Amino acid sequence: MEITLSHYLLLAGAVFTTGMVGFVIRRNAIVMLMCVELMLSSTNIVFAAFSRFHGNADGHVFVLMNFAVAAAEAAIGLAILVEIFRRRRTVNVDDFKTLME
Amino acid sequence: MNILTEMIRGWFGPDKMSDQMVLILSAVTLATLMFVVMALCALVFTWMERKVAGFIQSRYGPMRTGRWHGWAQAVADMLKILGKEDIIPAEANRFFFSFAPILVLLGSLLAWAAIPWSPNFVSADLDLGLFYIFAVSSLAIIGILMAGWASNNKWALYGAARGAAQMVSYEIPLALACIPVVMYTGSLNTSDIVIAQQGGVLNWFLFRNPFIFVAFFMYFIASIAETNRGPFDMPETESELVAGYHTEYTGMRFAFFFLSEYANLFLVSLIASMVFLGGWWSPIPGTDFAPALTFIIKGVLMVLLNMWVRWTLPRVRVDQLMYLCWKVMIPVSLTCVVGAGLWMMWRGQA
Amino acid sequence: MEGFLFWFCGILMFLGGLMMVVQRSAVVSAVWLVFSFLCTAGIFALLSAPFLAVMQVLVYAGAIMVLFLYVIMMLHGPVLEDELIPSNKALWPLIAIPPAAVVILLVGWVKGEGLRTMPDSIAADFGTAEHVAQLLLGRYLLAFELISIVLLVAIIGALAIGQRERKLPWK
Repeated sequence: MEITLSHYLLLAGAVFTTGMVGFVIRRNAIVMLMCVELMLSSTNIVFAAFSRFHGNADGHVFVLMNFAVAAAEAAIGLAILVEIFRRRRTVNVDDFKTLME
Repeated sequence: MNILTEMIRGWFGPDKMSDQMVLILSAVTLATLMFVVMALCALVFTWMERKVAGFIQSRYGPMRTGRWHGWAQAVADMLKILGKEDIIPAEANRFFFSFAPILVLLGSLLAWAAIPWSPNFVSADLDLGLFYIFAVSSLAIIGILMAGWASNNKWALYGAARGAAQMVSYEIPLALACIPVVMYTGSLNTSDIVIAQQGGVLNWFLFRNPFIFVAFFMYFIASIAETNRGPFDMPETESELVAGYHTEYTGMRFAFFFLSEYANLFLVSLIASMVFLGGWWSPIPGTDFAPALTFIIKGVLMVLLNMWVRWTLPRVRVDQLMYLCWKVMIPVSLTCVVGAGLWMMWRGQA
Repeated sequence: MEGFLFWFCGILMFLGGLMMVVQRSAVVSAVWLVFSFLCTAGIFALLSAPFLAVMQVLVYAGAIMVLFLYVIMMLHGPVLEDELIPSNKALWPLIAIPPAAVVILLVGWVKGEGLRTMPDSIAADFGTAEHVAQLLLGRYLLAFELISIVLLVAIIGALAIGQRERKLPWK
C-alpha cells in the first residue's frame, strides 16, 4: 500500500489528539507540559509532510523554529513549576487555585 | 558499508540475493563487528589504564596475571564480573533498572557506526555523520538518569543528576569546537572531513588555522567531561557518592556501564583524530600504507593523553565544573568559531 | 519498505504518546514520550528530512526530555503519582469532543479530497543540512535571529525564576 500525504496527516492528527486529551485528563502539571510537547511535535510532522508534498523545504525551517519554541517553553515552564513546588510542595494543578478562592 | 557489501555480494553470487537482504546481512555483521571491537578495546584499555596509573604513581600496576606485565588482568576481571550475582535491589524499579545499562551502551554503540575507519570502510556513510554522532550519544544521558532514579538510592540519584547536568552542558562546547572544521569542509560527512585533510601533517585541521588549534583543546577538555572521567568524574566521585549512578549495579549490568565508559573514551578520541588530526592520513605525505592502523594509533594516543590527564590532575568541584563550561569554554569556543571564519576570509580560504 | 517503516514508526509513535497519557507515574510517562519522539525522528527520515530527524533526536530526546526527567527526579515523591480522572465532572465531555471532531474532520476531508499521493521525484538535496541552511540563513534570516532572541529571553527568564533569593537591584 502506498503511503500518501493523507496518511501522515492522519497520524499527526491522531498524535495531536492524544496530547490534547492528555492535557485535559492529567492533573500533574509536568505531564501536562509533556502533552504540550507532544502536540507541538505532531504539528512538526504536518509541516514536514507538506514540505515533501510540495517539494519545498520552507516547512523544514518552520519545524526548526518549532524546536526552538518547544525548548524555550519547556525551560520556562519547568522553571515556573520548580518555583511553585518550592513554595506549595505540589505540582497538582487542582491545588493551584489560590486566585479562585 | 561498501567493502563489506561487495564482499557479501561476491560470496553469495551477484544475483542470488536481493539488495535488501544484502543490506540487512551487512548491517548485522557490522553491528556484531563493532560490538566485538568495543569489547576488545574495553579489555585493552582497562589493562592500559591500570598500567598508566601505576607508572604515574611510581608503581608497576598489575604484574602477575598472564606473566608478561599482567596482560591477562583485564580478561580475569571480565571473567570475574561475568561470574557475579546479578542483584536488583528490592526497592528498585525493575524495568528501568535493567533497561538503563542497555540504553547507555546503545548510545555509544550507535555512534560508532559513523566512524570512518579507512577510505573504504565506514559502517554508515551518512551525510550528517558528525551531527548524527552527537545526537545519538545524547541518548546515553537518558540511560544515566534512568539508572540513577531506578536504583532508588540517594547517591545514585545525585550521581545521575550530576552526570546529566555535566553531559548536557559539555555537549555544547564539544559541538562548537567541531564547527570551524565543518566550515572548512562544508560537509558533515565523516569521510569528507578526513579526505579534506590529505597531504601531510600541515594539512591536518589542527595546524591549518590558529583558532582550530585552540578549538582542539576546547574539544579535548569537553570530551573528558563528556566521558565522565577525571578530573571531571563528578558523577562517580568515590569519595563523595560511593560510585555514582552505578552504585547498585553488579555483574553483567555493571559490565555494560564499564564497557560504555571505555567505548565512549575511544569514541571521543577517534572523533578527535578524525576531525583535528587527519584521520587515516599518515603525517608524511605518500606514506599511507595502513590507513585503518594509522587512524587507530592516533585514537590510542589520544586515549593515552586522556589517561595521563586523569591520573595527574585532582578532581574539580561541581560548581567549578559548571563555571568552567558556561563561563569559560562556551565563550572561548564561540570566539573560535567566529575567529576561524574571519581567518578563512583573511587568508582567502573560504 | 516505505510502507512497512511508516506503519512501524507511526504506530509506535502513537502508542508512545498514548502510554504517556495513561501512565500514572510521571517518570514512566516521560520515558514513553522519549520513545514516541524517537519514532517521530523515523517519520521525519521517511519524509526525506534527514536534518530534521537528527535534530529531533538531539533536541527532543537529548535535551528537552532530559530536562523533564531531571526535574521530575529532582522534585521526587509527591509528583510521581497522579490520578487520571479529572475531578471536575464537567470536563468529561471535553475529553470525547476533540478525538471525535478530529476523526470526523479528517475522514471527511480524505473522503472529499481523496488520498493525495506524494510526488515520486524530489530534488536530490531536499532536506539536507545544506538546503535547510540556505533557507535558514537566506530567506528566513530575520526569523532565525528572532528565534535566537526568544531562546535568550527563555534562558534569562528561567534563571530569574529559578533564583533562590531574589536579589533585585531596586531592593
